[in-house]
Amino acid sequence: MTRERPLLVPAKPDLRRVHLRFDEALIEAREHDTLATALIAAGVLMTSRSPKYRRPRGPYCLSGDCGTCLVRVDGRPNVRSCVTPVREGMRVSSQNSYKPRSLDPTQLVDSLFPRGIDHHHLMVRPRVVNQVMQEFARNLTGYGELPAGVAERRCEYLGHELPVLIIGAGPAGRAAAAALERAGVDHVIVDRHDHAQLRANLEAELAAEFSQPPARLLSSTGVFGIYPGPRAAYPEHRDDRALIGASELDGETERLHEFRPQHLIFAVGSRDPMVPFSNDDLPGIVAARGLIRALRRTDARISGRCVVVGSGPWAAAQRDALDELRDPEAPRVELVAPEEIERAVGGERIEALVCRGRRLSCALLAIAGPPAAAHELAAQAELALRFDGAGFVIVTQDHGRCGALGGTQLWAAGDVCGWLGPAAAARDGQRVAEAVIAALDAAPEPVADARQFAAEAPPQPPPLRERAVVGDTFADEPSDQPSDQPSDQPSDEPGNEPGEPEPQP
Amino acid sequence: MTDRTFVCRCEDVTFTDLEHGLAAGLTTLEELKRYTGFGTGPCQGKECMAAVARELIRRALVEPEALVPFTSRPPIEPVSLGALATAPDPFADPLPSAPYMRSPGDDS
Repeated sequence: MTRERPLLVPAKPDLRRVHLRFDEALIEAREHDTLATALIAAGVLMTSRSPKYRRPRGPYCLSGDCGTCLVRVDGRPNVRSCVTPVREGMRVSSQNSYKPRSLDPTQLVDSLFPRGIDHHHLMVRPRVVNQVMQEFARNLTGYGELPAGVAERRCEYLGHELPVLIIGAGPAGRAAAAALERAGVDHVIVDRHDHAQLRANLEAELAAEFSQPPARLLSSTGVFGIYPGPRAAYPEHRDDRALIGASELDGETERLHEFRPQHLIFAVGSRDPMVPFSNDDLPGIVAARGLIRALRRTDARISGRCVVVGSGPWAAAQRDALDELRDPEAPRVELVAPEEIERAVGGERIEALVCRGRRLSCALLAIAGPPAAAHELAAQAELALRFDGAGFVIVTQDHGRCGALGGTQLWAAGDVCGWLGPAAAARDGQRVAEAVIAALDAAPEPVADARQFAAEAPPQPPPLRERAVVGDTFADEPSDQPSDQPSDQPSDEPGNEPGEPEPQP
Repeated sequence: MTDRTFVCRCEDVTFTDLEHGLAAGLTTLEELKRYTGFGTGPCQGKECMAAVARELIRRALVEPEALVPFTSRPPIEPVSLGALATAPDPFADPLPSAPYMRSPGDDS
């Protein structure tokens, strides 16, 4: 077991226990934990070192946005610990750090360059010094370590042609899906989170309205890109539908979804960006909203001292929500304005916050900056965006219409058009869905029902084999022995092999 | 540890680096990204872009109406090359013809 003091305790002690290994420590988790909540609960906050100054880093956003909770799980690198549910016997290791973590000699970089490493001027000339420096820096960062002994993941493809696609299953997306369901319009709603997280993300005021998940929900499906139709450059194909790519993780199967919707509703919500202050990168500094949702998901309570950073009604609301989620024996959750902070103090975890001369000791620091709209997908579709003081929001015309990409009409609902709050976002989602239904009535889809397509024999990636790695290269040359080729295994669907001769009658 | 204020934690870009960029006369998010490297790590700007944008406005270097985000490129969520390799060639086979029997509703 770890020697650290636990930071989160379960509200109900009777949840099933799951055991996993993080580096050398044995971690006991509860069944609904994600990897990140299990580590925070056990008081293990550091999961990696930063690329340049080699400082300790740990989970921040707890909702799959930031890049600092990446770990290796069973040999697979760059797994987001905050969106990975725990499994019995999981082998997890920290990334980008030498073991043991606390004795890593590269952490000296932080003290050797107190004024920073300016790559525009430091060791740029003479050239040979620059080359040595580049090589040294590359080895320091430790990125790009190859997978080792990775359990093979099956890959599948699924194409969809459908009237409406909704991205995001928060309040706006769910209300839109419910309105489409009532009207009998075929649609799919996708979200990158799993069911447990989607349930936890719902605010209490909406829990009764959305007690059931949407009927046509694809969970654990992250939309990674939006593209014009492949032939959109040709004038006669200018009205081809846009193509939306998403990756669904279904156990050990990764399914690539390719959607071609007539109408696309962005209901992607908002993110929790960081608030800059001195040493704002210490492990234990997390997003307030992410922490609240993680506590709701795992039904856990804060057992250490927690401080919220932020100003205005939004931060006060986050503080109150966190205060309700603390263990009765834990101290009250305090609120500090960002202007008051001088610096945070700590090493492998945050220890205190120095504000205007007073020192506030804390085990968790929750950042409650204003939520910023998740504009990335809309920006890929070249929609008009406007900075609203917190993030870039989609500019919508009447009823949520925001543009078109080829033959696909684009709509936006909820917090992605500017912060509304859960109840107002749900009303907005319903309003936009009604406008979409009216648009579909005016110009009906040629095929009213969604159609799905799968390739008869999707090409499979070559199998990953376990190979010894020395430094950043393989220790041996690949052997082309066909012994572990998948073609030797009997195919469960005869006739799918393209080269196989047809049996003669 | 040395006291540092980070604007981008993925790529270790500090406030000092940002100030160097501003001193060099850069005032747009795209230019600052190219100079400092902020927003080029695993989060692709999801955590840091709003903080840098707010700083630009606080210093009155740009009007909020004139502010545009740096270019967003796929993938914004992880996808493996193995999964991408299963997609049919859109020019050779725009939509594969075999209907798939599973409806999206049976997701567990």
